[in-house]
Amino acid sequence: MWDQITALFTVGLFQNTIRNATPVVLAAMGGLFTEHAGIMNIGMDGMILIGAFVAVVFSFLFASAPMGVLFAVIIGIAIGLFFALFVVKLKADEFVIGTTVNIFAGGVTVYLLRSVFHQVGTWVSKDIKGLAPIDIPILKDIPVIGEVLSGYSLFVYLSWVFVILVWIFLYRTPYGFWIRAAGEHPSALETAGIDPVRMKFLASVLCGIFCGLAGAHLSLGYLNCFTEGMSASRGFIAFACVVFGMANPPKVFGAALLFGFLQALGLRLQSVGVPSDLTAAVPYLTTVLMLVYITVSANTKKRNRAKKEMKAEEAETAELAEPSA
Amino acid sequence: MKKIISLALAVVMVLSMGMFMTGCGGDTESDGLVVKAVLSTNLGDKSFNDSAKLGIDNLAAAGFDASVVECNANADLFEQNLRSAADVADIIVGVGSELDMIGTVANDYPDKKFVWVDNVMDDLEKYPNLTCISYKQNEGSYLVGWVAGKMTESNVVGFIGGMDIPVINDFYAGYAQGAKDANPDVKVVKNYTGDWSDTNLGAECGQALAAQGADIIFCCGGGSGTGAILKAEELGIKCIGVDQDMRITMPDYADYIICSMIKDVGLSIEGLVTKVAEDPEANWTGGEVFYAGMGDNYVGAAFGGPDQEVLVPQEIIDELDPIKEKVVAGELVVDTAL
Repeated sequence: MWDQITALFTVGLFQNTIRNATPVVLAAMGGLFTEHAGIMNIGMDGMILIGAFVAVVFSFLFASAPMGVLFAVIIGIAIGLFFALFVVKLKADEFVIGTTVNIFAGGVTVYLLRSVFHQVGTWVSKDIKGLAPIDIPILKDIPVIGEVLSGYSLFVYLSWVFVILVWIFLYRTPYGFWIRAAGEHPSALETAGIDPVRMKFLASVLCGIFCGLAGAHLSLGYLNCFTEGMSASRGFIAFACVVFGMANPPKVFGAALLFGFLQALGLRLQSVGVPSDLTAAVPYLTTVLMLVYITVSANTKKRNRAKKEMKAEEAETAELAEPSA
Repeated sequence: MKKIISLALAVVMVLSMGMFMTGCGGDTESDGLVVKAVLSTNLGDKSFNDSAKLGIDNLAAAGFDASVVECNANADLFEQNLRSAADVADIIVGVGSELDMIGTVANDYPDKKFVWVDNVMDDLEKYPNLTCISYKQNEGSYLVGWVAGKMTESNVVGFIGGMDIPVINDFYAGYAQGAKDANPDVKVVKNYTGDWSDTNLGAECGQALAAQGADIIFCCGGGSGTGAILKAEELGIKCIGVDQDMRITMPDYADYIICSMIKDVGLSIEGLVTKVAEDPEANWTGGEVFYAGMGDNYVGAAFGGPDQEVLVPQEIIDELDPIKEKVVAGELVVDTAL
């Protein structure tokens, strides 16, 4: 039994983890902008789906993967603007608009796939050019580590760089500060002479771009095909990771990796005889458990801090009171 | 002003609806029987549902008024679409295990005939106007299992299932038995994707099975199963298609598909409807199961189109005919999960 379990930890498991995590990481990087800007964005799944579709369409038309990616980003910007227009400018309910985006994406991709491209279900063609895998020099020659960390499409490496860049942007640049302020305290931002609405628009557009990239990776980064509904709830998983990682890029990245790992492990646990229904539920079960843990621990932390502050205050008042006594 | 516009809009909508309905009414006036197939999911799986569509198209070509309605896996639409189909059609074909309310609908339309594909109602005898088609997918899978067992070089063959459900396990049972009968040293490994449309997940399953040594994988996961075929070149594996001849439906990847296990949903629908049309009294199997087996070629193995190079050695293909005869004659009993 133990041998069987250790046999599960192959290079393939970790490659699978990274491949599972990448689209989620990309989408989550977008999602944490809207989260910081105080918009609850549940429309990411739809944004990913449209990105995946557009990427395949333009990769097919131009026979070039970069064109596919470019147009996925452009459409991402468009959806981001659309989303912000309704949610921020027209103050529609963000939950309703998010759901609308998801339903619209599911419908429009299927409709266009069938009516324009006369493909039903899965669109497979040699003319859909995918992103070629890239080997990192030096790193690829290291045994095991090289196999796990090298040989993916560009997006996988980009997603790692984005984690750092997004962190720097959010916490070390004025724009990042303003986006966070737009979510936490818009009136303060207004007092400082900066329009929170514009910051929310910026966050929404950035989210659209990242979701477009996530979609392009999903359809061109590994298999070069489009399947109806291929986002398969990854947008919701990304949203869970954002909440889970408290919208902090490295933590969100960790959450996405954990999720990808559990999914990959679940697939392999079947070979040890664990029922597949159970293994399919493992990532979601863990998400719920971790969310509970995070909420509880955050609450205890808050309570402890409050207690400490109260004690400090008491001590202070006592100190103040002493000389007068 | 607003009121006038909304009034005008309402009038237009009512009128267009009226026109739409008369349009529908016109359709039913053709001579042949009206056949409507209701799919619980959607077309495009390049296997099960598309095969049903093919059967319906053939019926339409033969003079029946036959058409397909998709529910896109939207549970709200299942019963509605069945009922709307029953309003206009003479024979209603339910495609998909999710349509278990077909019995209730059949009760409400006693003068219509209902067919449920690939699923068997527990208390079927209570529904005189409902028949269930049950496929001997285990028999067809036995054949491709035999091919896999003969052709594997690593002595490990793989199986990807869409979900851990009896129908899919029936494929597995036949496949595993066939592979072991062909090659006693063979080991069969399996993985379920738990999803019918997540192509990437199917590819990951393919990799997980290849890591366990499988060099031939039988893909029974609908759209997710095709993921393994797309990755076959990189993983160094060969695949076996399902339901339809996937070498024909996915010609770009025919080099990685050695054969397909045919579960001819279309042919069985066509056969059943044609038989019923010929003699509605004698050939209607209401309240009973219509078994679609190897005898009528409703299940079997296919090796690609006429202009494609056959990847399976001829001597292995020749071995299949005696097996078929034995199965049809009942001399060889194939394991089942149903």
